Amino acid sequence: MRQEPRLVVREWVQGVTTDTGDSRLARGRKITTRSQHEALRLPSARHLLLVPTLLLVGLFFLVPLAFTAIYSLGTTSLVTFETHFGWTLLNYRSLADSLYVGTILRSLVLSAAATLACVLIALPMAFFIAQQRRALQTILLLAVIVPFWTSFLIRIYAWINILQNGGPLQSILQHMGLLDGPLNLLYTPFSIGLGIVYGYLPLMVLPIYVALERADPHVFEAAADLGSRGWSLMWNIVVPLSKPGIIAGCILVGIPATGEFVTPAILGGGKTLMFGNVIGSQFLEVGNLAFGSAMAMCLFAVVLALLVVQAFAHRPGET
Amino acid sequence: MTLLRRHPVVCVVGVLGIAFMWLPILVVVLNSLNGDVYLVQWGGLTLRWFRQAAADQQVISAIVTSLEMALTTAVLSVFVALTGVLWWRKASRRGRQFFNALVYARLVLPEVVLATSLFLVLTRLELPLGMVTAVIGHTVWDSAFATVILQARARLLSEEIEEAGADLGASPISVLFTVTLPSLAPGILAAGVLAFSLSFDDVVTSFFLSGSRLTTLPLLVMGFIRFRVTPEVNAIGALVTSSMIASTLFVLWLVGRSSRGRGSLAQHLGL
Repeated sequence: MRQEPRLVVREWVQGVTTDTGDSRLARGRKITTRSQHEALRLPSARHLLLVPTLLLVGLFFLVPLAFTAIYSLGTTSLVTFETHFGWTLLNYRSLADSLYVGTILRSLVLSAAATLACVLIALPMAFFIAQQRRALQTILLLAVIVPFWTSFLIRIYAWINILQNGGPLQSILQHMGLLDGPLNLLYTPFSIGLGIVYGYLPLMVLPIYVALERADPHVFEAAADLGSRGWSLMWNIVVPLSKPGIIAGCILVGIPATGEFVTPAILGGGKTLMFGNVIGSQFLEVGNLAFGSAMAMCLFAVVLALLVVQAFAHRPGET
Repeated sequence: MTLLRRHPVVCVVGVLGIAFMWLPILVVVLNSLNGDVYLVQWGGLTLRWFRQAAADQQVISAIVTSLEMALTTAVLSVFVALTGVLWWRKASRRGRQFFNALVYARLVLPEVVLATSLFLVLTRLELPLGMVTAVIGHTVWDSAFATVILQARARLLSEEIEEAGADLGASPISVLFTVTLPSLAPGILAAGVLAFSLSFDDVVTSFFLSGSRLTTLPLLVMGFIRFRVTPEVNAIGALVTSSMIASTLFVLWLVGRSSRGRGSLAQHLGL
């Protein structure tokens, strides 16, 4: 099966030289065979390797984005569904006036709330994992990652099973005497928020865990020795140490949450739509390509703004 | 430290958080075996829903379509990612920055925006929407993830062994095939499995680019649950989820085994 690289070298050494095959010998010859070594870099042919990526990104990423930008400045006739290209800001202006602006703002607030909820849950989770013994850390980390790598669609769909009226959550709450009537949680903004938190929580736990793992464990001991306890330790030591992780996590969760399409489509029941779904319906249902493109450009702008904020937030932390 | 580790809030949130990750998956698996048609109570163990799903021609053809799409996407994504990463490894600082920009731009752009943009171009060119257009869309997106996984693997590779090979007279091509690629192999497989599962599970890109006649498994499931919760969907979900868990564990085992402690789990994930 897979060959250990060092063994391969050893075979070569034995083949090329009559020596016993010490790989240190190879390193020793480095200076004398500069020209051969340079050959590995193959100045011009090497750049052919970049062609697939360039073609893919150029043709199917940059060109389509440029198309969207151009479409967003045109107008689509809702009678003939033909788009006329012009240089008008009409779509952007009607976006600001339209009924959609409320929906879009509400959906952005929902994404932000879900991201914040992720931080609040992930912080103690990551800390809990980082404080365990090495072997247990790996197992717990796997327990967080593995569900994330299974079907996103099915994981979101699963919540219908749990939240629906007459489902397990309702029976449990009724047995505990906490609920009288039906649950009525499914197909609400809450259920969408829950779906987003559930869907992306591992993307918040992982970077915070990485930040805490890199931190010097003695810091926690020192703080505890100096009398820092409970919340104070959490707030003064753990939160600042995990800040780079929190920032990275907010980007990893916030960006897909802002453009979320699947979760509202499943857990919103067609009632509560988010930014992504509004764009989608402009393209496939209404057929107003120009207006849909303007919306897509706005979503793109929101994401870019998030990245700019992140770049500024990250700067003081880096040395 | 011990005080905070045993702090009730940290422990409770930690344990509940991990349980929270698994609870919905468990519910789907249990309900797929639940004999009660309305799924409101436990109606005894049954394999009825699995048999029903397996007998459904729509389900079978959707699975075949999805497998075809995911396999093609995985092969293309690995090709693009591998060639790209081989270039990136030897590139200058500027070149690396440029390459990373190409990768991260694809990762941060919301999938809806990419899908609708491609939809505009492809319909403008009057290309019929179908398998080819969907695979293009998937590859743009999934090859970026594949690239990140491969980059993480490539970072763990020392150049000394390759240089040693070259010093000893191996041609660049034979260094590539006998040293570099075998060392990257676990990463290549991991990237392929990731691209495969992302494509197999994709809703958004398929929704816009696969046209009206092609139905992938996720699109079929979306259609099913728009009207009602059927036990059949639970059976499909249980199958898909368990096979994805199995493939994830396999890849993690493979990557972990081949790296023998070099680099942490987080490094392998490209974090």
